[in-house]
Amino acid sequence: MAKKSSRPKPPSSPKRTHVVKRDSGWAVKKEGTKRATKVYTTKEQAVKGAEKSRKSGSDVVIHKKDGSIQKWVKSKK
Amino acid sequence: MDFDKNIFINCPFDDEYFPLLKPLLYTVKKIGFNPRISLERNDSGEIRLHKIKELIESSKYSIHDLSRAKAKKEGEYFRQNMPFELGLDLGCRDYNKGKEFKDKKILILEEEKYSTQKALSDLSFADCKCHKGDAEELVYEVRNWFAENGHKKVPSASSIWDGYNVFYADLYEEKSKQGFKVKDINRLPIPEFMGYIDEKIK
Repeated sequence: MAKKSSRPKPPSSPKRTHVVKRDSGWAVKKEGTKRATKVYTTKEQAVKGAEKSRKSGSDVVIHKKDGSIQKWVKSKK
Repeated sequence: MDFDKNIFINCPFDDEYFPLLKPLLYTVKKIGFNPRISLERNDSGEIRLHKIKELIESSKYSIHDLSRAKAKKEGEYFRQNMPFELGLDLGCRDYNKGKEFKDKKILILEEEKYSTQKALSDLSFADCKCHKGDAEELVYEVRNWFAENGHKKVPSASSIWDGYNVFYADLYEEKSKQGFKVKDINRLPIPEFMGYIDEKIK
């Protein structure tokens, strides 16, 4: 019988997608990735664009233009 | 504290400026420097001018944001603390004999390009940086100023800005779990806010 590994599980990576101000637009960026998924002209478009991530189990954190939090939308999973 | 790593921050301390002050503090700490700000301690018995002089004399670097010196409506006095403290800092650099003071580096920030020169023509020599009242732009200007002053391995402005947004989400999540409301989180005292940055970026 295979021996059970005693190695502790790594902490789960935060599943958060951020809507952040980027130059003259708004970016959707999954936490832990280097690049934004997409940069939109308006914040409204970016929030809509982040909806896909929410459906796939990620919280969506919508930031104000100063980086503080406007809204935190829990994942749908 | 280490003179070479200290950076004196001279800016307004009001609710309107806090959205710029917080990313500024994060940027300075992320690049590896120690912001010195009069809000870092609150002792009602301490004379403010003595405190300011101590902060200036213990800092090789300084950032003076003159963007909010202008009166906003008729009858309002313009704010003289920031230009006054810039003058103290320039005096400290130019009148002190010590070599460490001669090496002081000063960044002047403004909101509109050339607005400082209009009000303070003595500073027409100065190369001020303009942040347009925008937090992300301020991060870019401050980061690039460190790089222009010969600091190596300074993280990119985009990575600092993204890091700040993630940092704020962490702060929001942790403090919400502790029962803090949004207004409590957004108005954390500056020493507490800086302590939290230290915890997160160490």
